[in-house]
Amino acid sequence: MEYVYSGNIILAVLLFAIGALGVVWRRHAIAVFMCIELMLNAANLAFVTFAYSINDSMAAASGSKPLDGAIIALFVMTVAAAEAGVGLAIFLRVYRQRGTINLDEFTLLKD
Amino acid sequence: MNLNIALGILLLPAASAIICGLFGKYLKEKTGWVATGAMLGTLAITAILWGLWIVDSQGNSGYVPWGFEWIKVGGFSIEAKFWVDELTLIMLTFVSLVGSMVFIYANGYMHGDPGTPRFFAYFSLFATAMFLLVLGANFPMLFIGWEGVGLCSYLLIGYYFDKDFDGKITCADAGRKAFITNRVGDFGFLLGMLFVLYFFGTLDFHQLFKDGGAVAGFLGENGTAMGWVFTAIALLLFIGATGKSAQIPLYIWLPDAMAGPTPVSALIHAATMVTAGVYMVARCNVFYWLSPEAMTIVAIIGALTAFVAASIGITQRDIKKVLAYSTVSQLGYMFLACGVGAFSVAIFHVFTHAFFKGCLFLCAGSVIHALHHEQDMTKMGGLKSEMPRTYWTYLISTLAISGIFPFAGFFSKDEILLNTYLVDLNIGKTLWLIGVATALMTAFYMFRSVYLTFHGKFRGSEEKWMHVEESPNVMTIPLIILAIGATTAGLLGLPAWFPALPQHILPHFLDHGVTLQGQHLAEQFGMSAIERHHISHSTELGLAVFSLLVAVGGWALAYFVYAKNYPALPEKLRNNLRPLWNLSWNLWYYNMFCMKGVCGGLMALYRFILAIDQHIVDGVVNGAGRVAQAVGGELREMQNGSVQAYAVWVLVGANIVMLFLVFAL
Amino acid sequence: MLIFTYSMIFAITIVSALIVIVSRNTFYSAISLIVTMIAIAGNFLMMRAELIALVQLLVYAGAIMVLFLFVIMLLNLREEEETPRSLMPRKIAGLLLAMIFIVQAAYITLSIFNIDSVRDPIVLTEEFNASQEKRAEETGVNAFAETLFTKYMIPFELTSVLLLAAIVGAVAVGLKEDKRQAAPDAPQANLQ
Repeated sequence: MEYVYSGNIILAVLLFAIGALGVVWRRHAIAVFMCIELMLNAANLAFVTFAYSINDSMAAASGSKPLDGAIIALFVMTVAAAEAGVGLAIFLRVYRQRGTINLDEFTLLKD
Repeated sequence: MNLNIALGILLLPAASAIICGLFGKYLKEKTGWVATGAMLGTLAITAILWGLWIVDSQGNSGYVPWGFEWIKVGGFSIEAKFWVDELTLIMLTFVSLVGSMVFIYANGYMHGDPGTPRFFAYFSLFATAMFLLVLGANFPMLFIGWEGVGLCSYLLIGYYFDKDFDGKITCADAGRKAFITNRVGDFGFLLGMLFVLYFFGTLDFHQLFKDGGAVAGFLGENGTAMGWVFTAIALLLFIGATGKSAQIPLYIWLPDAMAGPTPVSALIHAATMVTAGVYMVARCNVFYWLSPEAMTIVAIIGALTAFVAASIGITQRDIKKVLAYSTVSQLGYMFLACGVGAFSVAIFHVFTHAFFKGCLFLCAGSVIHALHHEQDMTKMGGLKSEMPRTYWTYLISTLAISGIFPFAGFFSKDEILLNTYLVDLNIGKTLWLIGVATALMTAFYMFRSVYLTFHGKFRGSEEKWMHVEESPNVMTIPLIILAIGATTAGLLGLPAWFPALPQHILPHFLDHGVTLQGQHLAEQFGMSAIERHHISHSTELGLAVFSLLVAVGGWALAYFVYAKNYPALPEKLRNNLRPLWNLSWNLWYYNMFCMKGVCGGLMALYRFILAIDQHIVDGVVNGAGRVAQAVGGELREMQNGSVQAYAVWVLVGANIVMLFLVFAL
Repeated sequence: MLIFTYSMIFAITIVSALIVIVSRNTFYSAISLIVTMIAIAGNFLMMRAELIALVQLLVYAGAIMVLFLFVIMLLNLREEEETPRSLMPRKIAGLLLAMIFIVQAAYITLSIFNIDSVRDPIVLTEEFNASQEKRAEETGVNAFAETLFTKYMIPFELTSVLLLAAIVGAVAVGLKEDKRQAAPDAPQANLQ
């Protein structure tokens, strides 16, 4: 079953890359946002994989329980939830003001 | 009471400059009295210094106790220290005395000029710089004063910066000319200073020149082998002196310095600025004593300058220009004296010259003032009856400068000629002859100016004649005081043949303290210094009578040409001696040479450099700019405001960071 | 059998994730993302991280994605509209960078991730039951709760503050607040 761990690491890397690609590719703010969620998920996956793959001797050596990584994944989810709430509210607001949430329309950072 | 009181001499005019400069708007013409008060204060302090000196001469020379380390770099330090000795005292005496007279006079002369506060601010600053120059205990202090008078002369010559000077150049140009010409000399001076620092390790006069000082140590170490060092230093310092004291080849600025108000000319020509070069050479006499070659060059330059300037003075029409060239000529005498090793006599001549030249300039100013800025002598005449005080003081000063017994100039000039005659040089007699010829010309052109200005009939317009009147007391009283000085200052240096009275007071006073330091050193280390013959007092008397006869001859000639046979004979002479007249009138074409040759050459060089600069240097610079612009133009696309484009760069960054990790693992 | 299941989950995760980014329709993207989330939860399960898998399903697939869908419907988004700006250079650059990223990240993680030291959850059948109990003790909900409420007590409490702030922020931003917009116009109205 070791392949699950190494496979999950690869999966996390791939998902992260796909998410990053999506951030660059997509036009819609919501879609970009979803890609960011994808990247967060990839990170979570890596966290949990590392946490669960760690063995007893290593845990003893590092002085931490094997669950630390998993708990961080929980926190990441919490943050993601908060982020999604606020971010989506912002998109609503922007849409109401500008009539679009196409990211190409927003170049205010240039000024 | 100690020597700290000498600081007052610096502080009073400096304070006056600040007050006049900052509060001139409120004080208006009262600034004149502020400045004059400060100047009289310096005169009083100088008197106190003399008093202290007489009480205890040993205790009252040397460093002014107050001072501080100004700049310290490694082992080299410049100290803001001041020094009082015999030479300083003599300089202070006539600078403050003549300066005070000029300041008082300026109150009358500048009356009604809207720029008066500015004028007195510069004027006070000028005095401050001159006092700093005289009091400085080391080369850097002297140099600050040196540059200070240069700066102030620029400001004051260009005082009427919005006016034309003589049709060809503006007053501002004249100021610039003075400044730039001085800068050329300053370059030599600075180099000389660096040489001194390099070879002797100190810039302090006392440390350098005292018995067992740096120069003595250097001589003890190297003997005569390093004699070229003294020649180099002496000549470099002399270049500085030629700039400041208007000698060949840098004298061209002084005649144009007439562009300023007349009191400025009087101050520059009589008491300050031009005397700085002579003072500096006398102060550094050690270097000259140790280098007979340099002394010979100084003597030759001095004699040539005296002769050339006097010959130019003969034909000039502008009264101030005549006086200007006479100053150049007299300065030539002073350097001639330095060159033959009579430094104390040079300072003596500076001393007497300050009185009669100050007086002459102020008289000229009085005349110009009365004639509403008419300076052409051919448009004057007959002013004797209308301006008696000006006339008599001018006449006395003319007698003095021409070397007529018993006025001051006779004694100092005769002493210079005597020393030149006695000097043990191949060209000594030639120099003496040049000096005598110059004396003849001096008497001639000075009396020419007297006759053209004050005798005969008035040649200007009727309207001007109506307004001619004697200047107010504030202007004439300084004239009278200076004329008294011009009459009696010679008593301080009576020649050896003079009966009954103490002789050579001032030269001996200086020789005792400063001006023979170099000779002592040269003797001590067996260097060849310039020697002088000895002749009997009766021969000296004979020479004096001879030079007196020459001066009287010049006077008589001027009387014959300009009083008896004016204007027919001058006209005839001019036509018959056309080439000579042209030479003199056109300033020996030297000014033209400077303008066309030197400045033209420099302009050509400048254009060449400009071309290089524009095409090659600027090409590189602009090219760099264009490259940057092009790169920037491309990079600008990076910042297009699109968050997603930024995300691409985030990815790039992440990749680079990971690349490090890849290589680290 | 397990390897087959794992391969399936792997494939589903990648494919659905790709659909998220290539689909032009945002709605499809969202649906596909839900699939990805569920597949990731399956991944967690494969590692016997049951609690995390559950939370993943509830929070991500359940709550967050529903929120996304709500917003998509509120905004009535469908196809991405074309804009004049060409995205091609950006897309190509992103693709290249992503590929380089994958290579490097895989290299780094796998070299850190020493496969020999990995604890195999089911090494041998006979050890399975014993280890199973031990694991449940080690990584079960109890152990989870113990760690969370002792060592991570303060961060955990702070997340509640974060969530509260997020709620307030979302409400503040999302409110149809026309007053503040109207405010700058008011003086103009007065002037007129």
